[in-house]
Order: sequence, then structure tokens, then C-alpha cells
Amino acid sequence: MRAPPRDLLPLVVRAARIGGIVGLALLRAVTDVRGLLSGVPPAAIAGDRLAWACERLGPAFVKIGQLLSTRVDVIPPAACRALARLRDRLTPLPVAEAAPALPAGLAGRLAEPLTPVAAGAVACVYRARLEDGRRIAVKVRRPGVDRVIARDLALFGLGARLLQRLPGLRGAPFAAVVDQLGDALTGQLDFLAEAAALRRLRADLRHHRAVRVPEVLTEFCRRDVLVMEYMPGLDRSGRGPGRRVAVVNALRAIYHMLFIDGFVHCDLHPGNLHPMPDGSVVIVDAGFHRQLADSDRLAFAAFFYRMSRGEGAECASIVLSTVLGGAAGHDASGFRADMEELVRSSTGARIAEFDLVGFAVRLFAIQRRHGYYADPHFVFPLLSLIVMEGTLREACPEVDFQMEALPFVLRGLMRPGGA
Amino acid sequence: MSVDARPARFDRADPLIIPGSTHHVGLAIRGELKLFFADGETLDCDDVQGMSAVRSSDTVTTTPDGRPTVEVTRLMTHFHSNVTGLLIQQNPSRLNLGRLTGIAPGGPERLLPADVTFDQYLILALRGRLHINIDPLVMEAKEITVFPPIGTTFLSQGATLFYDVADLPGGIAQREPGNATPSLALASQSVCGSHLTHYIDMPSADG
Repeated sequence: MRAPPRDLLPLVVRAARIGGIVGLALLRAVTDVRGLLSGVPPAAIAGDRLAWACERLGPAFVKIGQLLSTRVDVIPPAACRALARLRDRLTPLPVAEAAPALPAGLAGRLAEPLTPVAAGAVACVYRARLEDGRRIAVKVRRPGVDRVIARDLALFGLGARLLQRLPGLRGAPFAAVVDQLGDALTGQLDFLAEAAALRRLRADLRHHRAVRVPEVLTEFCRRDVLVMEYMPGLDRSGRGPGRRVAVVNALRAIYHMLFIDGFVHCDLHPGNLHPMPDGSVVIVDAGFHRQLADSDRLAFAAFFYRMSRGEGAECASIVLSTVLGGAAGHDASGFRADMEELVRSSTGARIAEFDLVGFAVRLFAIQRRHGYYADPHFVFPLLSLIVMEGTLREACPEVDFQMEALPFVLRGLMRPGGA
Repeated sequence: MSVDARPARFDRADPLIIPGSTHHVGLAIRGELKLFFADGETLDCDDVQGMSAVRSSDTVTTTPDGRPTVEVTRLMTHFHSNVTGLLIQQNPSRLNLGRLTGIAPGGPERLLPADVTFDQYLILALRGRLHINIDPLVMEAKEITVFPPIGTTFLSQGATLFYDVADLPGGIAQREPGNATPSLALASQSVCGSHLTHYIDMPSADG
């Protein structure tokens, strides 16, 4: 979608502001003599400044920072820790500003005032208690956040379309990816949709006793307010003897979403996925979710099935059946040969050895080299695994990524409509 | 056909006996054989045992990198699990071929130690239904030093999907699943240690 000229000015202003803040953050990072003299690692300083820039640039950038904060294997851990504050420790919306947003039916039934417990890019979460004694979590959307996201997405779209015009990148689906990212971000603004997603996840994962999804109190929900069961102890998640078990339970929940139901929570960073000390895992914030088409879910499952068997040629056929139309001069046989080598070198690896990001990067590089581009529908499911991979790699490197997936892959293929 | 009465000094590990040899082997599975069902049920079968027969080709060929290799054919498979009622048999409509390839370059005398792989097409009988695999169940053993592979652990690659024969218009002879949905899957990490029960002499037609 082309931006009319009169709409370009705010985008140019916004681009200038982004450039200015990023430049300022860089400048502050390299001139933080006091921090360096006091022994703060340079990576922590850089991460802190990047987080600072993301906070100022708004929710779209905070989301990017959240994703980066999980990748301890890609960026230094000190920088990850600095970026981690973007997950839910942003400055909360004052209760005085949040309370008026509550529907009258809820405000009149509260037995105690709101207490802030988490603050994210799009919304803030408060703890409260109903008159009947139930403890609840109330999520309130930040005022005006929809306008900020719309403006940044327009800018990202403009940048993507410009990139697609560069030699060597023509035909790359950057704009399509940005459109899907935009759908995901704007989807997070609709709390009625998130309420429905939480109910769906809770139902889908009901047989995984170690996986808990809060119950939604539908009668109090609105487009900008979400009310759900309060899950205590989230501030202690990620610790305790049960953490490793909890992380594996989380991985299994993701596999269930991906391969069996095709309904995927795409934002499982540590602020939304809580491994509890008792080995259970709590999943919250389902604003960023995707329902895979059944054909896509099956293709995803079939790819993992073939990969577990070391069948690179079949993997190549599946990918070729899902890629966007090949560019001029595409090379199917070269693609197949490279895919076979990629699968051969990756099959059977444990999480400590299997680099999902590296695998995805190589896969996409092979596609580009031979004139193909991935369907953006496959990017988001991959994202859910990539976000999880950093946590898994840190908590339990001995887990065999593919063997854990296998039961879910097989069941996914055995669902009616499967092939 | 008679029960083998070879002299006791005969060395079954002698690589020269591989081409043209036939053996029947009693197998005891000592690993995890799991059946996965669509409803989430997983059936562990850890008491599977039974008989298998394999014949190796008379012809030894050479791989591009100079190693000796010989084709092997699985003639019979018959395993059962008393606990679960699972019966595993070979699908007679398909060849169950495999290959034994020496690790070192050379002629037939270098056939051992070797890597062995089999593509198996099976019929699983369970709970009154018959299920077949379309993709081969690939079994592998690395660096075996005797043949028949007595005491060797075979591993299967990943898992294999099976289809209810009633869902396949071509029955056990069908080669593509078409619109059929897999009915179960078989996965096994470690399968069989084998011990030779007896040789059966099968004289060739040319004497």
C-alpha cells in the first residue's frame, strides 16, 4: 500500500526521530566513561542504551528488543539481561490513569484497588480482588498506543518496499513480512481477540497438566481491558529445582500448538512464559497468536517428520511446495542438493548442537541463492520456536530438540485431513 | 532343506561366507519400541521377540570410494509382543532390501567390519486392524564385526507412519497414501540384540 504524499511528512519526522534516538543511544553507550570505569561490561552498557532507545521509540521497537533479550546465544548475556527489562518492567501506567478505563461493571465489584504487577509495551497489568474473593489480573491498554503502532508500521512498510527495490533483493517478500508483523502487532491491541485466544489455548492445552493458562473472565472484558484469573508467583518464575522440567513442559506445549492444533502463541519470551519452581509452566499474554491453515500445519509437521528421518530430498520437496513463486532463474535441483546437505548436517542434534536460528538462516539463504522466498506464513511459527530456543539452550542443553518434537509431529500428521 | 550341521570349527565371522549366505536368526528386542496413536495414546512394546531370515547376494560390488558392498534381502520377519498383542510381519508385496558395506576399501575379504542398513515394509496387526508403512522403516547397525550380526544392536531412523489397510484401496500393495490419514506411527531408538538359533542349509540350484 503506497503512502500518499501528505502522509509522508509525519513518517519522515518519525524516521528522523528514530535516527536521532538511535544515534543518541550509540553516543551515550560509547561515552559512558563512568560505567566503564566502574567495571560495567561494555555489552551491558550497550544493552542498556538499546533498551533505553526502544522504550523511547515505542511498542514496535520494544517488541524487537524483547525478542533480542532472549537470544543469549546471539548477543552477549549482559546485553540480554539489560534488554530483559523490556519484557514487563517498563514504567507502568499510573493507577489513576488506568482505573477510568475499567468497565463500570468491574469497577463496582472490586474489593481492593488496582496494584501494578507488570508493564509492557502495549498494556499494563494490575492485581485486584473481586467482592466474591476471587483474585484477578486486569490488563489495561496504554492510551494512544494504537496510533503510535500504526505510524511505525507505515514506516516499516515504506522501508520494506524500498528494500525490495534494491538490486539483489527484488522479489523478496519484505513487505509481506512487515504486513504480517503489522497484523500481529495491531492484533495485540484487541483484547477481546486476546481473550478468545487465551480461551482457545486453555482448551487446546487442557490435557497438559503441567501447562497453565489463566481463565478469562469474559463478562468484564472489552477491547481495551482484559480480565483474567490471577496467577500468583510469576515473579518467582525461572527459579527453583523444577525449572528444567518446566522448560521442557513449555517446549512440549509449543510443539502441541504447532503440530497438533496449528494455533500458535508467537510471543513466548520469558515475560510471557513462566517456568515455575514446581515444574509447571504458566503461559500468559496471547495477544500475538496465529492460526495456521491446516495445509501449512501439515507441511510444517511433514518437514519435521522427514527431517527426523534424515530425508533431505523430501524436506526439499515440502519447502518447494510452500515457497513463494520462484524468481526468474530459480534452480530447483541446486536447491534440493543444498537442502539435502543442510538436513544431513542437522539431523539428530541435541539442543546444544542444533542451532535453530542458524538452521533457519541457512535455509532462507539456500532459498534465496536458488531464487525462492519463504512464505511469511511459516515465519511466525518458526518465531515461536526461535524465541523459546534461547531459554531452552540455557536451561537444558541436553534436550534432543527433534526427538521431543517427534510424538507431536506424528500426532499432527495423524489428525484427520493429514497426509 | 536340513538343519545346519556345519563343523564346529567353522567361523561364522569369516567375511568370506557373507556372499550367498542365508541365515535365520532369533531376535529379542531390548529397546524402546513405541507406537503412537492419533488420540495421544502411546503404547510401549518392550517384550517384542521373534524370528527373522536374511539372505545376502552372491555378488559383491564396490562403492565409488572402493569399499566392498553386498545386497541383503530380508526374507522373513515375524515378531510378536505377548503383553500388547502386537504382531509384526513382513509385507509380502514389497521387497525388503538392505545393504552391507565394508568400512575399509578392498575386496570381499574386507566386507567386515561393516555398516548394515535395511528398508523394511511391514504389516502390524493390532487390536483387530492391519497397518502398513508406505515409507520404509530403516534399520541400521554400525561397524558390525560378525555376520549374521549376532549381538548387534540395530537402530531405526526417527519414526515411521503406518496406515490402516482398510483405508487403502490397494490394500497391502498400495505404494502411495493418497488421501488416507496415518493410523499410527512406530518409533524405536534401539531395537534388537540378535542371537543365532540355527542355520538352515539352502543348496543352490547349480550345486
